[in-house]
Amino acid sequence: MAASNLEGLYQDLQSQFAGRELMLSPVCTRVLLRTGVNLKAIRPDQAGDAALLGSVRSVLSEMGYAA
Amino acid sequence: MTQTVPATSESRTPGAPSASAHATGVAADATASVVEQLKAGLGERDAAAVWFFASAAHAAADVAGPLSAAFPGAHVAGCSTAGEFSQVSGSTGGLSAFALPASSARRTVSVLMDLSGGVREGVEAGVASLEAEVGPLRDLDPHQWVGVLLVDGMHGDEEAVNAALGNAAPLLNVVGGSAGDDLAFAETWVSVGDAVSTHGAALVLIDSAVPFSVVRTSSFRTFDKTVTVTKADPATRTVWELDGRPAVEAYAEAVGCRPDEVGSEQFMRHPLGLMMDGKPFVRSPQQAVEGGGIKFYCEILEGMQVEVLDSTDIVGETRNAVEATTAELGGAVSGALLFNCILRRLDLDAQNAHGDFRGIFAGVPAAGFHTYGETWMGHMNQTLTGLVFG
Repeated sequence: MAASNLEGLYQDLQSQFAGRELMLSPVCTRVLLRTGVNLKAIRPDQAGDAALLGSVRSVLSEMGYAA
Repeated sequence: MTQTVPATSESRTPGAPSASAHATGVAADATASVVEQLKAGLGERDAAAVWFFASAAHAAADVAGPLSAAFPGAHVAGCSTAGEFSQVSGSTGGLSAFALPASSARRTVSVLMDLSGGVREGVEAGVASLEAEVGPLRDLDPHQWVGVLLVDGMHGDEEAVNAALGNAAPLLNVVGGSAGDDLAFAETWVSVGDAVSTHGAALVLIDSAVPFSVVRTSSFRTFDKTVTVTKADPATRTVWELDGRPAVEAYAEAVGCRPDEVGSEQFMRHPLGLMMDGKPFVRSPQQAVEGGGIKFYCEILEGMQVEVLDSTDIVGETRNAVEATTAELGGAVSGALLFNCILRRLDLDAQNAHGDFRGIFAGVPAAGFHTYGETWMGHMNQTLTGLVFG
């Protein structure tokens, strides 16, 4: 089931990089530059933002990651 | 603020020295001199790739063609500049170049992407062309492969180019810069081989046989002034509101001046930084615009929280970054390909510090140019990015 907030989405993403955590960093950087969301340190005012969740999910999907 | 991105396999041994060159004069003379210097630096070795950086005073065809012809087995990419340099000398109106020896690359591929029919379409066509040679880019090992991107500097496409490349190869380090035109802001060009584009991007991918690191450094500190972009037009790179107030007004308060004093001096000293892991992706203001907005040299999105930055020691920070990168590479550097922001060049001009800047690379074959924007994962300003080979 798809995550309902950014924290859950990040956890899902982390699970896809289990065992190769360092590789998650460039993905998070690209997400920040394209959406303004730092998945490593999600801002409280962004945490429950449904529109941002959609934007991040869309960017991840374009990069080939299900979230 | 410095970041080095180790991307190297520790098992690989340092490479043979790269070759660098710099020359001034008319295109024919400068090109002949650069070819001679590169060949002298390479000795008996062939080049896997050659990058050249030419003043917009030179016609692209006068440089790209002869350089490609001089290195028939190499991938030759180049662009116009806002100044060019090697570790020895620099100029505006000149030509610099860097040659990576064939022994330092297992494989090299390149493409000139035409962006005039749409950025995404152009990048996707370029990616398809490369993938026909090396397979899916997302499967390339980022510890082994690295990309160098020279991108048009006048159409504002850098964010879209980086996004499209990131979609194809999200883990791959792609480093580079935006072409310049000696501050005329009229037209820039990039080239691969003897093909030239005034609205394109040149991408070279290297399967490196030697250790390498990406360096990214900017000379700024944060000082606990954070603002949030509340209204922006990314298409024009304009921020209209910060913290719900006219951008000029909020920016002036943050940097400690009156709104009518906001201008190039404050912009140079106090750009904004989108922070990641404590380091800024610098966003440099270009000009205040009618209506209270600020136009930037790169995109800032609504909702982004950015730090107001304060400039520090450009030469010292760069030296720290290069030393850190050298240490990561085990103390041996065989060459450095450098992309330095035009705003940093203007800062070096003002401080008469180009000699000190080049001195950081003394003894290392290094070449680069002053850019209209820097690339690593995305587009940024007032930064030096580079690819350093061990």
